[in-house]
Amino acid sequence: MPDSRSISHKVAIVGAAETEELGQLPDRSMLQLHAESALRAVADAGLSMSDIDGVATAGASPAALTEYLGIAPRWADGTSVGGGSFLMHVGHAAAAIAAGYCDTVLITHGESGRSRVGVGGPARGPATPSGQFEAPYGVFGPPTMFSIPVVRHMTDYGTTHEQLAAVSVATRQWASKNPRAAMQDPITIDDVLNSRMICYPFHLLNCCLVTDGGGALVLVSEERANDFPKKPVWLLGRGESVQHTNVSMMRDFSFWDHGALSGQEAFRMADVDQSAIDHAMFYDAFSHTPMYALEALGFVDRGESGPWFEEMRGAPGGELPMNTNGGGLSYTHTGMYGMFAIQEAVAQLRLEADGRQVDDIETSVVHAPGGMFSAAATLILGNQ
Amino acid sequence: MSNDGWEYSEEGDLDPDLTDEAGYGEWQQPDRRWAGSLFRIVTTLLLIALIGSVLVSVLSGRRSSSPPEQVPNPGGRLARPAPTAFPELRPGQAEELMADYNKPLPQATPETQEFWDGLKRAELRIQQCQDCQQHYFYPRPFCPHCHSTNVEWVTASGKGTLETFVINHRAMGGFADEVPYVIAVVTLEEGPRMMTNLVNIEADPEHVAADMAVEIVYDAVTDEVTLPKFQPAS
Repeated sequence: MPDSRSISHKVAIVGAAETEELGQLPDRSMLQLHAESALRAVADAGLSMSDIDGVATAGASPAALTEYLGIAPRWADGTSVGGGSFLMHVGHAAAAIAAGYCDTVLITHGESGRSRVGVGGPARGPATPSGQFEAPYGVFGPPTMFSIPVVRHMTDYGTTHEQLAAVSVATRQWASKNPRAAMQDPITIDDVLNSRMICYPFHLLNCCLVTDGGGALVLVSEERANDFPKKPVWLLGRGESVQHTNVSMMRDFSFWDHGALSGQEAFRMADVDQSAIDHAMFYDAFSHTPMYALEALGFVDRGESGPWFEEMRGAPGGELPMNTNGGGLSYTHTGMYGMFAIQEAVAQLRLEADGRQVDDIETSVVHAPGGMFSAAATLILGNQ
Repeated sequence: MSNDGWEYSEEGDLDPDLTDEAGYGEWQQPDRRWAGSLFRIVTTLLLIALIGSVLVSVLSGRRSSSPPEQVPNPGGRLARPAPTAFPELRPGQAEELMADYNKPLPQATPETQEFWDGLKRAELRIQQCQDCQQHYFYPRPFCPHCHSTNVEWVTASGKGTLETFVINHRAMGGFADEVPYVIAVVTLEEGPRMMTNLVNIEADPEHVAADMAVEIVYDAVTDEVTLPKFQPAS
C-alpha cells in the first residue's frame, strides 16, 4: 500500500511571496493580484514563468490563471474549498511532483476582497442546499455563518467571552511587531468586549479584516530543492478533509472533527507529535477558529482551548507562538486567508520574520478551514 | 462546495464595512458607494412619484372620495408628504406589494419538493431510513448515514431543542429592519438538525440559551413559500 510518509520531506517550497502591498488596492483586479503574486514568487525562486509546469489555484480557475499568465502547464489543480484551499494545493502538488506529473508547481492566491475589482458574484443560488436551507433565515456572509458553532462550545465547555477576546488581543500583540500588519495598535480584552456587536457572540474585534492582496508559492522536488537562492522549506506532513458546505450541517458544533482528521494525517505523515512543533499558524477568520484548531490538532483536550488562550500561551513569549504575522484578525484577510498563513510559516522557517522571528524554529504547523468550518487542511513544514 | 472557477469563495462575501469600523478609516472609502447613491436616487424618484401621485389624486378628486386631510396646500409645492398622505391603491396593487417579500426565498428541487409542500400544509416533512431507522435532513432520496435508498417521508413532531445560535446585529439586505434577530440551529426531536430563526422571543442572550425547548411555527412568507421557524415551546 502506498503510504504518505514516503513523500514526507520529498518536496520543498523554494519560492514564496505576497503582493508588494496589502490592504486596499482598488487599482488591481483579482486576476492581477494572482499574477503579481505569481511573478514575485517565481522571481523569489530565481526562476522564470516558463519554468512552471504545474499550477494550482482557488478563487480563479486554473484556466483563467494560465491564460492570464500566458503559460500552459501539464498539471493543474483547481480545488476551491475556501480559505484552506492553498494548504490542500501544497499537499496535492507534493503528490503530483512525487508522481512525476510535473516538476515545478506554482500555487497562487489573489483576492480583491475589499475593493471587489474583477470578481464574480456570490455562488448561492436559491435551489442549492444553501439557498434552500440557510439563506432564507438571514445569514449574510461569514459573521452570521462561521459564528454558528461557538455558542455550543461556550455552553458545553464554559468558554467565555473574555477567552474569545484574548485570541484577538494575543494576535494584535504579534501584529504590533509586524510593520506590514494593517492593525498594529495594542488592544485589551475590554476593547474587544466594548467594540460593537456584529453577530452575537462576536464583537467587531472578534472578526477578521477584509482586504485586497495575494500570495504565491513555488514547489519543487527534493533533488532540486537546494539549487535555489533561498533555503528550502520542506513539506513534512499534510492532511485534509471536507465535510459540508452549510454550517448547519457541521456534525459536531463543539469539536472540529474533520479538522482533527486533517491534523492526524499530517502528524502521521510527518512522523512527529505536537511537542515537536515550534510555531503555529491557525487561520483566524474569527476569534473562535484558532480555539477549534488547537483542540482539533490535539494541542489541548476538548474544551480546554479557552483557558489556554486566556493564559496568552500563543502570544509573544508564550509556549507556542501563534499567528505571528498578526493573523487574519490584524495582519490581512483577503477572504481566503490560508495563503498568508503559509507565507508566514515560510518566512519564519527561512528566518526572515524580522522583529517577530521565533527563536530556534525548525517546524511550523499551518491549519485552516475552508468555507464555514466546511473543509480543513493541515500542513507541517520544516527547515531541516 | 461547487466551483466552476468563476464563483467567488463563500468567504468572499465578508463585508468591507467591518474593516472600516476596525480602523481603516484613514483609507479612502472603497468605490462601492454607488450602491448607497443608487438607493438615494431611487428613493428620491419614488418620493417625487408619490408626491405627484398625491397631487393628481387631490386635484382631480377622481381617485379618492375623501382626500386625506393632511395634504397641505394642494395648489402649491409640497415640502414633504405627510406620513398618511398615501394615494389609494389601484385594484390588485396591495397584493403586489404584499408579494414584495424581499428576503431570499428557497427554490425547491425534485428531491426537496415534498419538504416545501408539507410546510404549506403545516407539516414538517423529513425523511427516515427504513434500514437504519435514522431520520435525516435536508431531503435527498437516500440515507446519508447508511446510504440506503429505502427511505420514506415522515411528519416530524415539530418539537426540538436549540442546539446553537447567533444574534445578528448588522442590518443587511431584506433583513435590515429585523435586527437584531436570532439565527438558530435546532435539533429536532427525531434527531436531525436544521437552520431556522428563533421567533417570538427577545433577541437577547439574556433570553435565548442553548438547549432551550422549542417548537415549530409555520411562517407563510409568500403564497408559495412557508418557512419553518421556531419559538420557545409552550
